[in-house]
Amino acid sequence: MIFSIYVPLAVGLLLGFVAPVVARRAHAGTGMLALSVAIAGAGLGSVWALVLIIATLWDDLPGVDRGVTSSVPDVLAVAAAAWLLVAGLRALGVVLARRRMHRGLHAAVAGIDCTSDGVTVIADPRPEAFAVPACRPAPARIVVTEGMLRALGPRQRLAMYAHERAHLDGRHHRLRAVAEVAAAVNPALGPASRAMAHLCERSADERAAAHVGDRGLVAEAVAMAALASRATGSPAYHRTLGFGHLGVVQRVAALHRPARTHRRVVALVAGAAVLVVLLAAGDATLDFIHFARALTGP
Amino acid sequence: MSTPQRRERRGAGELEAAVLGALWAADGPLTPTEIQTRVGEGLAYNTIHTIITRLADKGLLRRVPMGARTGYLPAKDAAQAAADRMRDALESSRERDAILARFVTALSADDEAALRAALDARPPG
Repeated sequence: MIFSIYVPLAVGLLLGFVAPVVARRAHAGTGMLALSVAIAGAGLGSVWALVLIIATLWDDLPGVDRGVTSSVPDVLAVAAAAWLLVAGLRALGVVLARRRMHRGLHAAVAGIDCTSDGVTVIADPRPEAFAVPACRPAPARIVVTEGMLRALGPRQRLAMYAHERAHLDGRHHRLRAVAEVAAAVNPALGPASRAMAHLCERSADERAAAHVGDRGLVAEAVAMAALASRATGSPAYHRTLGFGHLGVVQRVAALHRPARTHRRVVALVAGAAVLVVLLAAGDATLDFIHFARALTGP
Repeated sequence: MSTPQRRERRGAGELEAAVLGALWAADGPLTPTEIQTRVGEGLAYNTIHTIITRLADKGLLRRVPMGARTGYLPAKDAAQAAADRMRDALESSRERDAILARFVTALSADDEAALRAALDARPPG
């Protein structure tokens, strides 16, 4: 338990370094799913590690003999308790903010009808397009502004619609929600969550490319939309910290390169991460149970 | 719902979106022939008419007399009212980029230069 209890937290930190590499090199769809699994595993493992660390305070009760749990300083255990409380509130905040945004957007477009696919046009001169997943009773919507439609040619518009459709079909909002909750609990997972978000964009790009039969066309649409947004001065640019920027330029470059095929390596890495978390958490838990049994035994 | 039916429905939605896109991107009313040209995709005139009717039923476009012919414009009133509400909803959270996957993302000046170079370098055709 001495080391294994911290392993899930450390895996989170490691993923923060590995994920951006995966995001740049992996097959988009496989990378996206593999990172989702790894991030979820690291997130759950982090929660469990915190619970075990807090539980070592048990050895402070009068009459309890210290055992392996003494390796965890009380200060750390108290800090872990405080963090778990904060993490819970942060996770709740993430879920509520997402729900509020989606509901607000649905309310904003409720008065407009949409195409059979949910495409809804807004008369805003700034280029904008995003998918809003269904919130019962509202159907899924693809919100597109007049500015976006004017910035793109007819074929580029098709590519853009297909990209947004891919987000909805692939339920990417769910993957992103899980990753954001995991990052709320273990902030070291922040870079991994952003890397996975990039892979969601890449995956949608590749599915749109398959739909329109032209990867270069999707690259054009992405580039034209981004340049048009810069011309109208939105959205505001905030450079993300460290590990290199994963954005439009990388997406366009990836669409101009041959499609990636490294699926197995990525799946193995994600599987390894989850396995390591499971083994470490299992090891720490067994040690703890052993300790608890020794106390409550005959 | 069987898969072939779903694929068909998506096709119809795509065509509706393509026609809507052509209407909103135009600077004035379009006749069905003009719509047909702008949407491309080798669509038959009848198909264009079917889509126009469907969109008209949904209140998404309106007819404008252009002499002897009929032109079509996108219906803008509801779309304009929604624009402010959408802006408010988007601006209500600083976490919007973590919540929403927007097609348009922020560009730095370096990014802009790189993108223009990538667009200029692409093979013709």
